[in-house]
Amino acid sequence: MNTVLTELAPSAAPPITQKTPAKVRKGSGFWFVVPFLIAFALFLLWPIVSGLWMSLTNQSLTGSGTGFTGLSNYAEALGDAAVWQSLWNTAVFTIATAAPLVVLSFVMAYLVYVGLPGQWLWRMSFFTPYLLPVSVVAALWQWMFQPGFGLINSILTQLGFAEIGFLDQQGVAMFSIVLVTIWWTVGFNFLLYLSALQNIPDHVFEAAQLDGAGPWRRLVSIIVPMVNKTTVMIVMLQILASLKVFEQIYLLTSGGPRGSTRSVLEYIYDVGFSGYRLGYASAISYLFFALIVVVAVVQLRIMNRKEH
Amino acid sequence: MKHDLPRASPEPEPATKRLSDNLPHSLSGATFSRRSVFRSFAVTAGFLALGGGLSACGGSSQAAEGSIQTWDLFSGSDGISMRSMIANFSNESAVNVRPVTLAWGSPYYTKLAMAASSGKAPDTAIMHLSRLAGFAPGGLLEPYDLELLAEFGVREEDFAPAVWKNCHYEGQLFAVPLDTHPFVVFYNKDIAEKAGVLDSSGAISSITSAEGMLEVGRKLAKVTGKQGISFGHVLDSAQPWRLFWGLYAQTGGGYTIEVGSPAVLDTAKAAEVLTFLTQMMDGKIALKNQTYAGGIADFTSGTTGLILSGAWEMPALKGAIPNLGAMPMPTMFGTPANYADSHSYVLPRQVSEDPQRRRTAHQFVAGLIKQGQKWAEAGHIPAFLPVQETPAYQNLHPQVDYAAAGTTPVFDPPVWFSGAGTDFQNQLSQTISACFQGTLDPPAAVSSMLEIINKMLSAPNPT
Repeated sequence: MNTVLTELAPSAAPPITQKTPAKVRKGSGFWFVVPFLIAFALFLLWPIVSGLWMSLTNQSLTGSGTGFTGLSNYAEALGDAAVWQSLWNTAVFTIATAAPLVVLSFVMAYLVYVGLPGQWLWRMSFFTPYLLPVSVVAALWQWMFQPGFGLINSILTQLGFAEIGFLDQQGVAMFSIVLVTIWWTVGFNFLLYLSALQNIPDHVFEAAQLDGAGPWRRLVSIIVPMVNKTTVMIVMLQILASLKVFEQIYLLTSGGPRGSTRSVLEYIYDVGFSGYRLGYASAISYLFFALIVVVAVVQLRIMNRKEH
Repeated sequence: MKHDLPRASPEPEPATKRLSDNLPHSLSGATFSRRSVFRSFAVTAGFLALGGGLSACGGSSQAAEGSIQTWDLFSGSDGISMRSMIANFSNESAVNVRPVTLAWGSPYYTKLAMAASSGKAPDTAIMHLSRLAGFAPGGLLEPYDLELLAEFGVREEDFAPAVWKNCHYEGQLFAVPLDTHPFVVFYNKDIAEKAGVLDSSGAISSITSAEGMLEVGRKLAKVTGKQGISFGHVLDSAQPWRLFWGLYAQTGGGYTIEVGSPAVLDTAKAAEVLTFLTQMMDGKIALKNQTYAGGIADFTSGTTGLILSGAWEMPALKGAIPNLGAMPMPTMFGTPANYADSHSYVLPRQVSEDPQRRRTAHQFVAGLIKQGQKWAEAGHIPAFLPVQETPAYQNLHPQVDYAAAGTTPVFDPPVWFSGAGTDFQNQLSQTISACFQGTLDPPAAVSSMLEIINKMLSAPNPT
């Protein structure tokens, strides 16, 4: 890819006549960015700053308590067992979803790519769940997980197995949510992988074939390295997406049983919006934000090391 | 790069390339699209509410008299009753009412609190009486003018004392109750008759103890061939608490749940109630892992013969089982007591006081309260006693069969964090539900409940 770019560069070098229009455009560029800057400042920068300030106050949703309280919210958050539990739950969810969502989507894309018959059907059925709104996904699975007469449990009991409390058993509920999430979102990663696979030039395979490489060798030595960039990106985006989990948990279990599936975002929601304690909720958000920054930096480091 | 690709891919190359070039954008765009649907609903709702508020304000400055805005959280069949009551009121009084219906529970109260604190509040709003302790002390509500209410025909003696008392904060009236909606017992009369548990008047009257309840449950189970009793609690944010708290009050155990002192429950009696309920949910009398929807489905399909549920489910149950019986929660632990809440009207704080609008708000509340008969069709017990005394209500079955529950209501403890749609109810419900499912034994569940309440008591009060 780099070679293509460098080849193109000289030929695309602008003739001298183009310099003048470029100069004229210099000042006007700013105005094109202004709409974005305004939106950025209003909806990202300002909330970040005001949220940080809020975390240093005991601001309530009802408008009272705007007094500065220093770091007391942070101290309370660090000593709050529910914060640690919800962080732990979030970590479990992230680890349990990120790995399968990357590996499974690659396997699915690979199988489609190597030519399972009826490619369009696979492509559609892998991707369709992703198009469903979360409320539909939650309602669907809630009925399938239903104890007693739910689809899965009635099949289990007919086959002579014991019922599983998919959403109401501590330790099981989180993995039911993981399962739902994988079913729901794997399609997008699948699509990314499929397009990456289809982007691998055929002549590489031809060359490999001439050298006597079998299917396994082609997979390990050509396909996996060639989609490496996509993998890195999927891993990064997947981890960030999983850390942000809220909707499906809120809808399926509302954090239960006994808080065992409550993600940190749901705890922030509970504290801030149900409990009115916006200041405290902001402090927890900032602690979480700090953790995400750490994760992102570590990821970036690993990525960079790989590339060099 | 295009010309490098001789392969006829099913996807046209430019499209694939564009996709992979823009990946981060397209992904975040796609992730947002799910959320943004969610959000755009919220934003739209917000704008609608705002627009409603603005135009209502506009109405006040121009048309002056007779225009108010009201909020409620009735999206079920009771929402339809509510709209027709409002229409009746509008027709009779020529007051222009702009009703806004929002989603039940915590989101509703979040919006109401924000609206009241920012001065964009509706003139009147429905509030669960159990939430009054969180709203009245923070100055989010304004007290009623008793004289004005009396002028429109609503007085203290028109309400059950136990309910009226709970409408006050520091001696002032902050809420006017529209109804009491208790947690009661419904049963399938056909199944009950086959089970031989009906008395000569065609009602179940034999339950006077916990053992009596189990006995009736066993007999019903024999008829259905499955279970006798439905109770949906798994992952429900309120049902376990409603059942427990009502029965605990029957034991006369008493409690101290006040900010500034540790929570006190009679742990032995609380454990006794939980023990009874776990005995009931033995898989034969009742399932131990039933969901709310599952409980209703089992009852309406005749898999069970009796259901412990809220009065608000009456229209749905009656629709499926025409021969529906009902009664207040039987007294099983000595003292008659029935978990209940009450939809009441409150006056959210206004930034600029407008006596005319305030007057109209009083008129509206009085006008709606008096239409209790229509409201009773949705299953609720009308709080306005003159309605209860009419022959029309006395002939309204099965509503009138559980109307007695409105005289012994048990409300949530009056602290700022309790009430309908709160994390308090949700967390305690999760603990109680864990006990029903056998992951916590009753004494452990009680101490876990005390722990949860104490944590909430020690948190700073944000109102």
